[in-house]
Amino acid sequence: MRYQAYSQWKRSALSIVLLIAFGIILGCSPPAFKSGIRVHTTEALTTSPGASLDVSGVTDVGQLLLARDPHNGSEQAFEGLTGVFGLDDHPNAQTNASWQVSVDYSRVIFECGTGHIVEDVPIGGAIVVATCFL
Amino acid sequence: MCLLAGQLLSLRASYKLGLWLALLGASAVILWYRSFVRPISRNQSKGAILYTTVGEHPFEDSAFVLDLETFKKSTFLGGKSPRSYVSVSGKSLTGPMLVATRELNESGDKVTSRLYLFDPTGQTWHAVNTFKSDALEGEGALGPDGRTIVFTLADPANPAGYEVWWADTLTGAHRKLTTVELGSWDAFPQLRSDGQEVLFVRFYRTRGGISSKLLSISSIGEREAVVLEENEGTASACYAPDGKHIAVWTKNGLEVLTESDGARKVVLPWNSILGFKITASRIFWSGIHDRIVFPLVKSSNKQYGIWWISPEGQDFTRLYNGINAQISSVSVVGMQDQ
Repeated sequence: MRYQAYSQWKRSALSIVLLIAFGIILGCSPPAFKSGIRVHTTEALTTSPGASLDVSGVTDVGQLLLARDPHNGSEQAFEGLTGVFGLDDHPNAQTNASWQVSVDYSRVIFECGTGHIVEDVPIGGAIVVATCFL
Repeated sequence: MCLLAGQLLSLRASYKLGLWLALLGASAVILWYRSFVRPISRNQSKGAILYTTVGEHPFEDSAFVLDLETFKKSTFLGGKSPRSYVSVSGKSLTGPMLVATRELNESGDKVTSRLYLFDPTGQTWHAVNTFKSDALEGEGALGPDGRTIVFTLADPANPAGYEVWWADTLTGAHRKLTTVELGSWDAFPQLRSDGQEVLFVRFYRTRGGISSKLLSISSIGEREAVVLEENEGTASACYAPDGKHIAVWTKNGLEVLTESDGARKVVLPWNSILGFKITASRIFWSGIHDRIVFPLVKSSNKQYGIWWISPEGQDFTRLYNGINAQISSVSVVGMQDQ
């Protein structure tokens, strides 16, 4: 009787170990982050029309216009500056919403001035691409 | 899956189930070995393409490896919060790499660009910029000796004004090589094979938009020289492994320059790649294959591909296609450190 109990315990322990190993192999990790708003600022090279260029140093300002549920993130406004590869990230910006994003190129390319984009951001987030065409 | 595993646990899974799971686990291990370990130990000569893509969401930027023997793609550095990877420069998949990242700052309220020296073998990360804490960090390239690096930093007072810096990752010595005026910035610095000269592109605003020049400077910050003037439309460039030639995207297409006599040859004119565009990014001259490797984007569907061509303009070949994200850097690396 005692041997039977021991044997059952051993089987259960082995199963638990295998289950944990299996879980690790398949990756019991949280799903990849997919939310927020990314702003990407670009421009075409004047002397090489086939080439476009990521532009850093552009100010971006976001304002939530219309919110829906369900959503991710809680920020209803943001302000930033695009960095390397013309990127500025706002991972906590509220999604499933309409946003107005304004980009101000004047510090980098004065002639581009300021542009406004209204973007419908789905629950999984979005990229807002602002391109200055001169 | 985790929920299912928990339920199975609570039911005290049977020995038979355990055996099945063991079999499945073993299959997963075999698959992993075949996909990642075996190719790395097998392909010493052909090398691999290491490239990065810019994602459509925060923290989606990742680095990928394209095995040049099997042409299978695998994720090398997968971006996820709090860090993603926008540019990688290295000589091999096991040696040191200079990695430009996007990452959440310590207080968790802002995403910034950071430059790291990454050791894939020990999985260690060392911040490159330990000397100018307020600087905005750009991207860069590992030197041919695998220890010196060139990269870009910008002062917060002129946040678009990236300038070229040099550093020795072993001793920590560093120096600023270039100075830009308001409205201009330097990009894509690369050390020549002898480590004595740095090639880079200077972009600057004009009344009509952004213009560019191809420049070089000694690695001690002297003798800044113009390689290609403003009207040439330089978008990106790289040295050949011999240090005597330069591959450069200009208004004419992809050209090969000979530094000694200024000779130029268009190896891929724009009119031969109608329907394609480029995004200014690092390109690479592979010494293993003597091929210039670069990304192209199809105008119609915005899909990126990786291509190569010989310096004579032969063997224009698509190596990989269908990438639904902007390729931000591309290089050819060895499978293991020599």
